[in-house]
Amino acid sequence: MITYVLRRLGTGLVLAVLVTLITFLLLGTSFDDVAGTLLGSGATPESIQAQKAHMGLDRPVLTQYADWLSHAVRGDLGASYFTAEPVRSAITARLGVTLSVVLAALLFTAVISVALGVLAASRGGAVDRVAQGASLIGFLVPNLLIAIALVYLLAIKLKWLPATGYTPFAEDPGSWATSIAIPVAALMVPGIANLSAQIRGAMIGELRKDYVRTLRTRGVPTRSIVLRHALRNAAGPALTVLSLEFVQMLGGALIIEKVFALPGFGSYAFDASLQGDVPIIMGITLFGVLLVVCVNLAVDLVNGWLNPKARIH
Amino acid sequence: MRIRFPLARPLSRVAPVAVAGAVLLSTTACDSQSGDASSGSGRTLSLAIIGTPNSFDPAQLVEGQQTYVWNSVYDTLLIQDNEGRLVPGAAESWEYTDDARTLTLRIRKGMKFSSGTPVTSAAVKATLDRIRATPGASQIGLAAVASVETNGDHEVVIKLRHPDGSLLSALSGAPGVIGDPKTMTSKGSALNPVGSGPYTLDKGATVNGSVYVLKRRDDYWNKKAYPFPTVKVRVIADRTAALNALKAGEVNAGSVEATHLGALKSSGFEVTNVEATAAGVLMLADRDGSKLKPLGDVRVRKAINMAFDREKIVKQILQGSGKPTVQVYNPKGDAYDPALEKTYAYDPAEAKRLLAEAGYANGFTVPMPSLVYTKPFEPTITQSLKDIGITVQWETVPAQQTNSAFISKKYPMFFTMDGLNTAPIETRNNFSPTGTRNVFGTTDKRFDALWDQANTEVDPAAAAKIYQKINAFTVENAWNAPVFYAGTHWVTKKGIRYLGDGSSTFSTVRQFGITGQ
Amino acid sequence: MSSSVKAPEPNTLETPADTGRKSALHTLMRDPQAVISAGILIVIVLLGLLAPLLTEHGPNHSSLDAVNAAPGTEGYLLGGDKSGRDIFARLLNSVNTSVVSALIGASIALAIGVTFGLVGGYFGRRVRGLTEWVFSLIMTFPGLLLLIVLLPVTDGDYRATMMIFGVLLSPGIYRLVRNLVVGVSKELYVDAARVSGLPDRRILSRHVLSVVRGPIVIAAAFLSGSSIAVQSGLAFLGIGSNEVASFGAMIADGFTNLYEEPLQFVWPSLFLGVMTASLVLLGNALRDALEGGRPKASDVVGARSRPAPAAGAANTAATSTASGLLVVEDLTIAYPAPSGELTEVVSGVNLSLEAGETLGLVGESGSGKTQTAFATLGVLPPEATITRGSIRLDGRELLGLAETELRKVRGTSIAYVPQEPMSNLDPSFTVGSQLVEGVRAATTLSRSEARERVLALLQRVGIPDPRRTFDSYPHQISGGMAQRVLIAGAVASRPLLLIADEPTTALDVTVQAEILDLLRDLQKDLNMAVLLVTHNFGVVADSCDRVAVMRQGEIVETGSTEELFSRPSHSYTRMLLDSILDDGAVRTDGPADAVASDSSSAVPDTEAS
Repeated sequence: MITYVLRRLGTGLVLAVLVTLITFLLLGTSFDDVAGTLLGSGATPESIQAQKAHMGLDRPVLTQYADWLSHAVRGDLGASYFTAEPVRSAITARLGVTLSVVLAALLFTAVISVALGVLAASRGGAVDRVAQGASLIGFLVPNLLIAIALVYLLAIKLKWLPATGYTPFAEDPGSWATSIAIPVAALMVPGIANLSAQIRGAMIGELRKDYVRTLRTRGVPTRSIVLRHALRNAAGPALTVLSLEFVQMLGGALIIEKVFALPGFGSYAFDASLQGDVPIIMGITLFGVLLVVCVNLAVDLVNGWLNPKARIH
Repeated sequence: MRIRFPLARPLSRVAPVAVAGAVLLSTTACDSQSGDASSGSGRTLSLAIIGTPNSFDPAQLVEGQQTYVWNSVYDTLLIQDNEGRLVPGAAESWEYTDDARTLTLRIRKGMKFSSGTPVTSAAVKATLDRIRATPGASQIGLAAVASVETNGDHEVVIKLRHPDGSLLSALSGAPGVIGDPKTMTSKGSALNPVGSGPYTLDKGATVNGSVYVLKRRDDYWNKKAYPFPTVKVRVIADRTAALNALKAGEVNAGSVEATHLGALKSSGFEVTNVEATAAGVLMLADRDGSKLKPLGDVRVRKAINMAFDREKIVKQILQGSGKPTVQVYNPKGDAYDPALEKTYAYDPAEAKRLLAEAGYANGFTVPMPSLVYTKPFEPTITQSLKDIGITVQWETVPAQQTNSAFISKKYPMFFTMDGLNTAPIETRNNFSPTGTRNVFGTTDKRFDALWDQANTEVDPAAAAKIYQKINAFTVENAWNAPVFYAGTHWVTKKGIRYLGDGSSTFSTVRQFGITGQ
Repeated sequence: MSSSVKAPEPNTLETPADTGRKSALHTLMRDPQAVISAGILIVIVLLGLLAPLLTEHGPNHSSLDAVNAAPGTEGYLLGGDKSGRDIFARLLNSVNTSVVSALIGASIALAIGVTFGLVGGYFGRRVRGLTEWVFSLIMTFPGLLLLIVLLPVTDGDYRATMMIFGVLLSPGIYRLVRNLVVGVSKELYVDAARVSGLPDRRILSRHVLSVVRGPIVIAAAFLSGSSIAVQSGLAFLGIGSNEVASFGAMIADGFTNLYEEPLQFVWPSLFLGVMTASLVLLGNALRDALEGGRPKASDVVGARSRPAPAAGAANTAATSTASGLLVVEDLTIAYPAPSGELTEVVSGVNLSLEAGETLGLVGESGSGKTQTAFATLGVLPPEATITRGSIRLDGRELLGLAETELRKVRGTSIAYVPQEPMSNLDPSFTVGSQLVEGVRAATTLSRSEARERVLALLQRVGIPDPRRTFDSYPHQISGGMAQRVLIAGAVASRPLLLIADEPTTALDVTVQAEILDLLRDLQKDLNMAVLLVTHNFGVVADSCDRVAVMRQGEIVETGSTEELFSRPSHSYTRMLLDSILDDGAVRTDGPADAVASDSSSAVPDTEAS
């Protein structure tokens, strides 16, 4: 088990090296642009060359990558070309913001989707139609609109919640909760629409299986059949969807972060990409890879726990 | 209602060559007795800006909205006041030699960096030398500087390779900051700057990329110009988010889109409209026709100027927030001439005739870079030029390649939205042979002559006349096709007022004042 | 092909809905959700295709007079946007952009994901390791970032961007397919196919692809949806050409104009929402249709008897003289046909069973014997309807009982041994925990007492190492073991009546006899009545006191085993018996009566019709 986890993490590191290398090679084509952007409207071909030389961007790309890697291994991811902020601390700070929002949204998505999906699948009829209707509305209404409606009502009219900005948890848990409340609500709507549909489908499939009938013939209560047996078997596919949802939310958080002026990972990555801020892009790529590796590993471990057949021995 | 102007006395326009700093000193000396400055104490200016401030390394500062932060931390040698005039800053006076090749600056006494070290001519020299030696956006501002010398603790002598009319303007901006030589080369100063300015950056409350908190220094020489004890600068890139932040009371000052004004009226906000802060200019960069032959013909360039219904563009696309123009200079500045505005009326028929006369009856095709900020105007530009027979092929250029796309000389024409600057700097950037917007490096003997005159003229009033001539020359020869000035709507919570009127487009917290309680 | 009839029908059994895949399209056409969502999509796509005919202006035509023009302005059905372009024209052209994005994104993701998912899931470790690794690589690539970083390569062209996005989406499909395939390839029938020498390609396309088809179809709808969403998202962020009309760009424009001209925001949002929602709903409906059956959600409790007072009363009155532990009278079960009418699958069945007696219910598959058994247990599928009849246990009417009442009866008085042992055990729980749960549901025993009883029972049903089996998961034990476990589970609460539905058909020949012996022994020990549902006369001869022969939903003949074997009165019974004798295989196991020793324990070919 431990060797399995270690092996997976090991492959994760190899992946990280490969992915960062590819990213760096891709970025290598745009070093001129970075220098040009840094110099602003005053850029001239000569000053761009001088700027590149100053930043060491005129060296061979592979040399630069090796340099980056040797520093990265020692935990030094460099500093932003533009703000000079050290990449590692900049990313961890922004990751905190995004993970707060995404994990909270994910938690609510999971809980609400399971409730909706299970109810719809096990009750049928009107309950099913209502749950499906709710999920449909989730698809229909863009989350941007939901976000704006919530901001208008809760932040501008009632002044219960802030319209923009983020308070770290460590600073004030109460303000932290209010500062992410609307973004979380906006982010989870499409997730719920998707996941609850998946859970409903999986649950319907499970409830029609033979073992459910057999359990019923033994007098096992319906509640236990639905919640203990069918849900557990339906949880595997749902979990896969949830992990994809997580990766998607990391991206989807970008728009939400922009609209709520949250200093998050997504908007940081986006702005860095637009500026061509190589150290940040590299740092974000590295963190992104490690994050996804860990999430996938966690999903596989939980899946193994859920599904004895897929268990790793 | 009283309005507190940061600089109490308007300074003479006629003789700023060696302005005595005494006036200013005397006003600041009143600081202790006035108590007026403290009437705003407890007030915080919460300002929303669009972009994240760059590094605070004195050699890496960038002008634009982020100036609000660094200009609060650093002193500049000169100051551009809210009327757009250059007035004493850290240099209480300055003097050019007659050949305009030596500039002597006298540094104000008694100034201290936030670290406690006194500000001396050595610090000024160290900063200037560092900026000159370090690649960065400020370098171009000091390109004419041959050497910087000190003369005693409070005098700096700058020797120039050639006269540079834009140097004084530059010294009121990023190239004119003074950093603490002890710390400015260390990595930490990029995030934790040590300056002699009115505020210090509160590192504890600042969240990089999100909110920058500035605390006013009690011992600042010009404290009176800064009525807010605390300034919070919040980065809010999305325009609607900025509006929401204003409405929810999370910031109390910021600029908004014209379309957002309706949502703010009647809710305790004061709106100040600055008619011109940036110019939307269709650069006809290849005016020698080296890449796109038709552009070498002045008739074609004039025709392009006639293709735009400028009034309507301002009214409809800018929602009235701006001003139609055929010039690139600040309408509140020295070089602007209202009479020139009549040069190119909207006349597609005449434009077509001119094109035909030049031999392009069937028009031609031109590639143009599609940039983040050009998007709202692309449909109109396309349509306007199509109406006179010119086909535009937009090529998407990612934001990070904007400048390299211009420099690549790939695009004979491109649309820019540059912030307005002082006349010398506008001339340098747009028209001088090495100008950053003159990417094809085109020039003309008549222009060169005027440009030389302007650079060697040390009397600002006389220089202004030359810049007017330059302006007239470039408009009449259709060097570019300016379309409009874009305005800015400043929105402030009641009690705070935006003091600028567009004369100065420099972003500084001096532009915010407190109205009567 | 005498063995092919053995394919189990775990979900649909003998319902008319099991008419096969050809009706998938048919089912789809009858599903309002599918019809409406597909209809909306078709209308929207058509609107997009017909854009040049429907609009007066091109999507990029701009007129300063039309800036923010009000809806209904001459030539501007929905008004003009802030650049003076026709909102209606841009909406319709945005549809085209979305459709192209969806097609590119989804097809590339599916092509890559499904292919490698099948390969990675089906083949051995080494292949899987490689595909796994490559897809992890793709998956870990920060997608949005890549799209932005690659802007110089794609030149901002949304089609190129969508191709890359399709590749980025493929790991999701790969994982989905791989997981399904890994699950399926461990199933018995795939093993069987593999053993029988079917080429991998055939197995993949026939057995495996059919299982993963449903999830893929719904995923395709979601993929199209997310391609559209990402294209819009990128356009919202201002990436891509301004000349390509896109919902995202329109939403971004509308967003800045939200407080002044809210409709400019609403239209593209609405179109985008309707498109993605329709795709998802269509995907759901498609999957439902492809997976067969009627997968509408329904109450788990399932079918209820429809009270039919007149007929029921009359029939009950007529035959109420019958007595016994189990009395089934005039039982009629119907399923709704695709047309909506009810089709009877069991018609007027009468059965009775005394305590301690074994009744064989014999018939070919589709004759309604399993339905009769399920009706007795009260576990008919949700869509089944009992239109008339009566089922009494010990004199108590079971039809119409509330689920909670029925549950008490099921746990304690009636028990069930299913046909297919593996699928009747929950794969996620250990054998022991499932059995303990059953025991505790039916009795008041404590957890540890229940555990003791289960262990004793496992011992009793002949499991060599009860403790180990107790802690095993279903996939870790053999089919025979599993059937013993299920028998243990059935008899755990000492029921009066055991209903065994083809308890040996899924098992090896050698195991079959052991299981039958076990059932016989248990019956004697516990003095249970047994209703043995089977198509195998050998089994009947071996175990049953009496036999009822079923055909097309009706009982054609009832009698003692001996009588029926020696003097079958119904021609159908004779035909069934003849077919066994023709087979001529001789039982080799255990003692049996004279007739049985001639009969085959192998599956007779009676069901091939």
